[in-house]
Amino acid sequence: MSTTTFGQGTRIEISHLTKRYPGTVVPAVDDVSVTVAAGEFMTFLGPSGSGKTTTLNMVAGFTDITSGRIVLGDEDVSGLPPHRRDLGMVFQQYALFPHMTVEQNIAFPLKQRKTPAAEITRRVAEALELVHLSEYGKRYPSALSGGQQQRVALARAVVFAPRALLLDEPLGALDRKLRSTLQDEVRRMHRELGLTFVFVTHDQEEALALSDRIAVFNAGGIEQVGTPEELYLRPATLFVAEFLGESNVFHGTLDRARRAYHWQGSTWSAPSAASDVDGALLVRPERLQLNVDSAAVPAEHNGLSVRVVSDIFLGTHHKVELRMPDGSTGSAMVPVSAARDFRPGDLVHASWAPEDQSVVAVPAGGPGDVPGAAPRDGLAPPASRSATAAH
Amino acid sequence: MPPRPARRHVPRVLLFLPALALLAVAFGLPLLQIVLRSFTDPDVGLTNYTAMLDDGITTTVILRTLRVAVTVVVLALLLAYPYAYVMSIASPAGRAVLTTLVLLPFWTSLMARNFAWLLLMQDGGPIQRFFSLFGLDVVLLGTTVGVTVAMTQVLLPFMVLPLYSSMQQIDRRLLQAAQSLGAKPRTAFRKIYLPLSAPGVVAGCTLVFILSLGFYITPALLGSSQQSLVAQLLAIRTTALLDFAGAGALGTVLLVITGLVLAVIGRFARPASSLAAATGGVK
Amino acid sequence: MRAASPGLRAAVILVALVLVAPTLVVIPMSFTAGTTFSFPPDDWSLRWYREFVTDPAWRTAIFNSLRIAVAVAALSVVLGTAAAIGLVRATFRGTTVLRALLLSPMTVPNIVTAIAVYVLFLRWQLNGTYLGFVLAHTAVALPFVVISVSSSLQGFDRRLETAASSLGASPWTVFRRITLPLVLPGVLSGAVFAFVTSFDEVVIALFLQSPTLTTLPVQMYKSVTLEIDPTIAAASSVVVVVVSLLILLPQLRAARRLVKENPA
Repeated sequence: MSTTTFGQGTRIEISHLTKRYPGTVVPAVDDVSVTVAAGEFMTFLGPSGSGKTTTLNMVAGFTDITSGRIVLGDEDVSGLPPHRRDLGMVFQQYALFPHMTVEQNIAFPLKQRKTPAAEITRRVAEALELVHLSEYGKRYPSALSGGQQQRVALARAVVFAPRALLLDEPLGALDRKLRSTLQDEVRRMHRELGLTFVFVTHDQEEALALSDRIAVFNAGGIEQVGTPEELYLRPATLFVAEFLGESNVFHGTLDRARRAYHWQGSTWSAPSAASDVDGALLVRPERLQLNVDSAAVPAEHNGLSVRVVSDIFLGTHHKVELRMPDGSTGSAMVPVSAARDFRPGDLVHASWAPEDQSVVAVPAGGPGDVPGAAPRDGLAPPASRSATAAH
Repeated sequence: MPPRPARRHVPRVLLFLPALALLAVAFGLPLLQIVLRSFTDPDVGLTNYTAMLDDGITTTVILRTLRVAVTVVVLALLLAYPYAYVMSIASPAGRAVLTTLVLLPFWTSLMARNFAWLLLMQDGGPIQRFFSLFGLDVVLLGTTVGVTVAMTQVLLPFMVLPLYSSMQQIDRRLLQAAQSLGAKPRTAFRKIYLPLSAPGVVAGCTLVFILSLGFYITPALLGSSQQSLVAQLLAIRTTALLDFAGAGALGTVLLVITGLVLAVIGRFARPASSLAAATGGVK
Repeated sequence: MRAASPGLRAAVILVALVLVAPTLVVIPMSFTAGTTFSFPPDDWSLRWYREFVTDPAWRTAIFNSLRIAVAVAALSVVLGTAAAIGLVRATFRGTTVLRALLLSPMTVPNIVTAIAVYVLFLRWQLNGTYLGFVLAHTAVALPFVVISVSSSLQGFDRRLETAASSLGASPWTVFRRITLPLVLPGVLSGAVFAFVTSFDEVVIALFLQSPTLTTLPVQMYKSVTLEIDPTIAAASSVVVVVVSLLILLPQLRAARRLVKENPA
């Protein structure tokens, strides 16, 4: 499959995009800026109501912009109606036209562009081949499975060589197994077509598996933009850390001058910190080491004494639930090879290398309000609103 | 009512029997009897039908009735389609208002509504006076035009409700999808929305057509005997002329036309059910 | 959702007027002091309302209509609910035919039903009788009950009945305590449909009526064609206002709830 047939990547520049619905005080999308590079696979990740879908709909042209700009390549499309934006779109519930066959569905965008009949036939066949559905052209959508319908929707969205492909939770309606098959399909199409993809999802695993970069949305703004590794290993905010995977969270104070972090009487070394302000220190469960004997703890490690609550065997790992001295809970993932039996009630030393921790900002609403909740009408915005992280 | 957990067949069949018995007595047998009579009274054969073809009136009346019915269907569809469309896209509050405005005439006494038209169309009534402002002398009472206008208004809810019920089921994202694929809003409407609302159009048109064919009160009150419709002819044959066999023949013709329409349409939609679903749904 | 365009708005307002406005003309008419339908009236009075509630012919007609409509509602709910349960739960073939049979009165032109019933009931001497009216109107009302009950049964989880049986309920108790309460909305709306169908029915009634048994719509029809007397304007106004209130009240309550939920 040649990349020219189905279009090529176009840069999408979103600047200071804001959407305020009439009669509401807090904007649904508040001053969002992000640039998607040509050919990049960008994911908008966030809980429902975080503004990711509204942002996508503004890019597609279904939702009017209150203020801000959207530029595709060199063209400002902010005021353009959806049918003149040349963006392919895949919807959550497929949105296949039930009164047209698969072929007619795929031919639809070409007909709108007055493509000659012979070329329509050729490109529909190519698009069907691309999604491995060549046998199904004459069928009606209702005669296809959910996964097949979604593949038809993909073919229809790319057949007219759009400037970019927008996908709105396209795999949300599918069961787990089918979802992973279609994730492979989406990744393969991205690789083969070289198109710019903007993918909206609330599923963090899906985002990590597919994306070149992820923009994490919360409460109408972007918390952080970065590669999956950056977001996971160097989260900029508590929200990002807790939305992507689990963390042990220690709410304390940062002493920048001494590069130290104070928590409940412990002082830990903090050689680098993402935030200037008092915040939270985070350690991923798999970075936590558990030792019964304090002598076994490496000298450079930060650490504390914790009590074991339970030990769950998960096949490749043990998940050990912990209670911190201040009563809060945490966990550690211990590889089976390194595991030994921890009994509930055991006192152990939990420790980690300082480079495995992150110190992040905590929103003004205070700790505990953050994870996942972030209602639309909610809290003051987190530290950095318009993040344009390094690529 | 007998309880029915699944043990045997017999009690289930029994559930239908009372309803079917009543329908037989008050609907089935009467129809059967009158159809049979049209072929047997006074002689076995098609006498009543040939007489109908020869009397010079019946065929004219049937053709006039068909013409009126088609006109009513077309006018009602033109009025009802945009209304039902807006009903289906309106905010909940707007939809409640529009729904109420359809249900009011739907439930309001047929006699009251026909009487109202009589008042409006009478000699020296509001309609005549309105048109005389423009120097026009408009006579609607006693004309086929007047009957058509009143029937369209009276039957309008029967067009709006099935339309709305099918439009409600159209996934609005299909229109967005069409636009994202390059269709202008107007094209998206024509190629996606219109075909998908077709079942409602078919249901509403069938319903209004069948009701128009046998409509009696409006032509009887607002029409004239010189330009009567089939229903008036049937009534006169039955009660004034006591020509039960002749009335039976005409009634049979009406039944056959209705049956043909339903048989053709039945492949696409169920008009009766869709009306009931619509009215039941908004009640 | 984008709002409707100005042209579309205008069309909707026009159609709304067409739907509702013509009927309202009966209200000013009913307050005329004159004895003709001359409109608008020159003088005003309540005399035709007095006539409507005191004249024996009108009073009897209202009473007859109510008596018949109540019986029709009761009878068609019992028969229609049983038939609808039978339809939805049937395991044998031929339910499509049965359903078509049960709904057939809706698809036969009213006038044909009317003359057919008239001719046969003449022989059976049911014309002009209470029983004749109730039978004929029930036949026409039955389909509405069948449809509304079977549509509420279709969304009904039969496992609830199985569960109730497993908890020791007898089949009759299962029906009374589980099935009936859950399909009650469908049964009630069927009853309302049946009542109104009968109360408003005029074509069949015109044929079945006799000098001794007349319903309200028939009395209205006679008053227009024979008596030409503005009492019918008063009668129409009462019917229009009562029906409008019955429809508007629940809608208004729903609207108030809507406003409460979205104060903005």
